Amino acid sequence: MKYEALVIGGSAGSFRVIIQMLEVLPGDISMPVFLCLHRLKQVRRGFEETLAKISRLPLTEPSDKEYIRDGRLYLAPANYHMLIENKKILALSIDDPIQYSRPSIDICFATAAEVYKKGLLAILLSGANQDGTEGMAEVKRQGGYTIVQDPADCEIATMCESAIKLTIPDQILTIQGIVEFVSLL
Amino acid sequence: MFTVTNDETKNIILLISQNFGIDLSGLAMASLRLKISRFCKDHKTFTYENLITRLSDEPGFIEPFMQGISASSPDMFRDPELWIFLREQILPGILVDSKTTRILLPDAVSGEEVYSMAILLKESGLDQQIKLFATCLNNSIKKQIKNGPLSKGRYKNCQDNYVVFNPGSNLDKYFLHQNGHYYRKSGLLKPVDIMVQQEYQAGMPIHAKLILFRNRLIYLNQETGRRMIGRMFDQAAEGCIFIIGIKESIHYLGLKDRVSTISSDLNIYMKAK
Repeated sequence: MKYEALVIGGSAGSFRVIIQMLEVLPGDISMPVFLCLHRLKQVRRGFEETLAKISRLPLTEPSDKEYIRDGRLYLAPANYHMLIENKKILALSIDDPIQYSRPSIDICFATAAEVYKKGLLAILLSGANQDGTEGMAEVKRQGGYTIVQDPADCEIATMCESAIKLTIPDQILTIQGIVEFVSLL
Repeated sequence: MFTVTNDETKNIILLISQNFGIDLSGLAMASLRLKISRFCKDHKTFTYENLITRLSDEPGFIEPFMQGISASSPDMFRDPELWIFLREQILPGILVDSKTTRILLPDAVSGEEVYSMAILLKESGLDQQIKLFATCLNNSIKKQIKNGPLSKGRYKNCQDNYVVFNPGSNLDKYFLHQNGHYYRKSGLLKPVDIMVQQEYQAGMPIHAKLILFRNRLIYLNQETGRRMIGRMFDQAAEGCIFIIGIKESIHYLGLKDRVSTISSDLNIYMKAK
């Protein structure tokens, strides 16, 4: 299956998984990657730079209405929701937090699902709330491919358990399994 | 997640234009759909058909709908480093060659930016030297700006920002806490002139030295954003300082040759001389 886009969502306990994923994600990948991670709203610097050092893909913390390009990693900015407006443009929003979260994984995943439909690959990682549950359900409804980190392998299992309760994902993988999967993209 | 599709949203825009004469075609589609979906959930309107019926047949339903889909206002002192920069770099600069300085906040939604600026001026002892103007779309929003409460969660966000802006201080002194909500003390807005105005119109009786228009463009499509900003720039004086949201982009606005950059990180520009 050739995917058109990859979305990754994570919260507490997901950082070490993200690091491992970015280390192996091929640098010549021919699709955009959207990364929606819960992060401290007051801290604008450091996070992007840290991930950029690890990633083989060029990493951008996008501005509103930024053009989407294949082979680029888009990190949702702190304190903004990141929406996929269409296949060409990203949008940001300062709407109220969802599940206490801004950026919201639900919003990022759901808007990506509507745009990319069957072409979307979504991966949900460790986290301490239920954000991502509705987003994963929307990806599934639109025909996208879903992977959830194995709750037994999560630092904090709440987010993945919640998603699995609502939607049967295509795969439930350990960190090792997820890393292997993305290395083959 | 979404109650309405893109095509259904376009139909809603058409219906509202035809039935109420309100033009929503300039709004950014993805965030509009999100707002409509949230509104539907809050008002137990679970299908597109149900929403159309209520908009068409239920008297007065349009008002809460319009309020529900209006652009969100930033929390008070959102991006505290911007407010610190304003206090320390911008305000002293714009006072240098002017006796009566005016600051304009166009298209205010629920007043957080207006109150933040009013507090900044008061704390800097500049509230007599600088006149603050704001515009908003209708009287309902004006009322909200003056008297609307903040929820506990919203207030906490504002407080978190404020303590970065002004360490050791506390927003409580500007608020009254009643029935679980936080009400801004009215005195702060006494010197503020709030005008009801459709978009940003030419001929506004304001010669502002500073225009604060943060996080409004993200709710507009590119064409509308360009048009609105173009009007503002046509009206603004040379040397006027113009601030947009930290994550808004100036690149598609056609302003490159019309501004000099004061801070690209904080998105602060000056109308070129």
